[in-house]
Amino acid sequence: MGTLFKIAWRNVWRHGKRTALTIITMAFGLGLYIGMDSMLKGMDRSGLDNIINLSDSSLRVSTKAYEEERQSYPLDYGLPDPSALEAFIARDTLVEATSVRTRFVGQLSNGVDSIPVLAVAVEPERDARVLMLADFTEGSWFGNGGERQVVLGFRLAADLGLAVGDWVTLAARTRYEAQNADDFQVVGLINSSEPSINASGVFVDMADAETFLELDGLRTEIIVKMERRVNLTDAMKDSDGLAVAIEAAYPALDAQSFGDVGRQFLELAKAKSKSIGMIIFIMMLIAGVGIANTILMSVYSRIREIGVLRAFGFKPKDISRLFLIEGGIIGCVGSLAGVLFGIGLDAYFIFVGFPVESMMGEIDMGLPIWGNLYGEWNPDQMVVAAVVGVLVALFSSRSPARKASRLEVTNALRFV
Amino acid sequence: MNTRLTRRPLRAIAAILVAGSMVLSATAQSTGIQGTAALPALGGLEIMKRVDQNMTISTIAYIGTMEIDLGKRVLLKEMRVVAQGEGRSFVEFTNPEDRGVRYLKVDKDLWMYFPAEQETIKISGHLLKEGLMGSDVSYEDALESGAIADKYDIRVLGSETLDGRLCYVLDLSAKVREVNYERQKLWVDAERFVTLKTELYAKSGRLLKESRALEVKAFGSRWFITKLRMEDKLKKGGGTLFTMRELQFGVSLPADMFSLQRLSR
Repeated sequence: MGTLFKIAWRNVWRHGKRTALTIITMAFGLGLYIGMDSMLKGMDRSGLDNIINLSDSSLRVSTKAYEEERQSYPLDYGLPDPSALEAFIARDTLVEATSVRTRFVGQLSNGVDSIPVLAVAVEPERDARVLMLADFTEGSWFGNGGERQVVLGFRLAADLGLAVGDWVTLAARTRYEAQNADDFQVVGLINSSEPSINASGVFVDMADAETFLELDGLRTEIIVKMERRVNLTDAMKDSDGLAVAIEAAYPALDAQSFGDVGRQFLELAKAKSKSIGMIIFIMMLIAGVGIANTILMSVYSRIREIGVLRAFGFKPKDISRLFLIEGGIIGCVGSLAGVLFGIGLDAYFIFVGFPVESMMGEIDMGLPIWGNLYGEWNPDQMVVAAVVGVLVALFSSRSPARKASRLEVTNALRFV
Repeated sequence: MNTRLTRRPLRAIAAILVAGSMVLSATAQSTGIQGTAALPALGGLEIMKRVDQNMTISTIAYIGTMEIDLGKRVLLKEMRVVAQGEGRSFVEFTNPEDRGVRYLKVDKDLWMYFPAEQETIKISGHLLKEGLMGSDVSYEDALESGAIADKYDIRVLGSETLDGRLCYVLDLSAKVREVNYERQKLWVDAERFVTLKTELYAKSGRLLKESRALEVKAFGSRWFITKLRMEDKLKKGGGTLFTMRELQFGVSLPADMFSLQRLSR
């Protein structure tokens, strides 16, 4: 076996350029796969971070009736006694903060254009303890002015030509269906990693909303921040547990846990990962054809040599093994190079990131993140990629190896 | 006084599209509100009752057009409309871009049918905020209903001349919370009893919408608006011009005229 390996190793590098091209193709495919996998993992993590930090929190509680009509943000289904409910939620030792929100449908006008919006009334200080919108706000996350204030997603503001300090008219129906409209001063613009908030976020102070929407204390949902867990499964389990406890104590309520929302998100993400699977399949197919071609060329260029080896007593099985080992060497080197290339790409994506914002500009690609997209290490996938690389190489060299082993000694020696 | 005044001015505007009722016309310079000495002394309820009588229909059919001025371009829509009373109407668009799009309004419910997708959807939630086919009338305007006298205190502010027509100027202020507009101001033609101008105000006092009747025609003893302009005051310029032609009153309609089956047929 040692002799076979030595011969195979020497043969592989006899046609350096051909081998190098095959290895480069393989390495490129595998490296790209590893890099893309890292980005998808990063995108999943960022998406989940956005859910928990910017849009949904660890847990969101509203009434079942409200959830049925959630798309229309009705002001008909307020939480019964939100304070008591918050006190109940706070009994869970993993709960760090809670806040209340009221969502409503409105229309935003700059005096020239007017567009429908889905707005949220928040208690600024309490909300900032649960979600991190304030950290992404340029200007201020509501100040101490006497004027009515609004914080907008920066892309929405850009669409209406608004900047911090400008005034905008917000129109909406009150809880009792009366039309209302008033001027609000833009005090902050949100440029977060959640694109939907940047594109359509409208936040007003609950104190203003009370009079503007005649809320009379109506709160449509409670958001909850739970202790941060390093492990995603633990975070989901914590929120699931609290959701079950709330729904058991308050049957009319609907508690959407981070587990529920996160799992839905990951299901969607799975569909996306199928596309990366297709990419790797195509790349490996190309690499496989390359390897088969390299080995086949090697077989044809060395037919007389094969005849000599057979004459020296090499059995057909040995010849077949020789070429399989050659394929294996190419596969191993290619896979190793691919993993190294992938690690390089990963490192770049993890430490530098992919600038979605500047690359995509105004184009909405439907990505769940905005700003810089950072990758994530995924050693399991690197191992999978390397093993697949070697297997593809072995599989591709099987046929040429067989062909070589079946050559008649006399025919091989006479081959010109 | 148990006067059921169900013809609210804005709904009447929307009705040109989705129902079939009225408001009335006149463009002109106003002369400023004066006393009503030159006019018969009528109370607000009585004036609105007469407006209501003028606009009440059993059934109606007409061809309507909408010119929606978006500032940079103007959209033209044409539709065939049939309506019964104030609560039911069926609209089918006939302009090339929207051919076959249909609306069905039954009381407070509104459905829309898309022929390309062969799909019927109910307009609800934030979609109600959108302008009807891009116009300045929202779907929710079209769905407004209820007795005006039950919801508003009607006060006669005085008289004013609009486009040479002497008008009663009425102020409607909400006396219940469940109203679409907190305040409305109407200019009612003192002779023909049609609403020539309507201003609709938000709870904050801000003017939200304004409508002006541009053409009023007599149909027997009935005066009816056949051309009307609606403006969303939260937007600059633009506006929507509604025109009605080939009006027929008292038409007989099939029993299933206002059904979902017919909508998607």
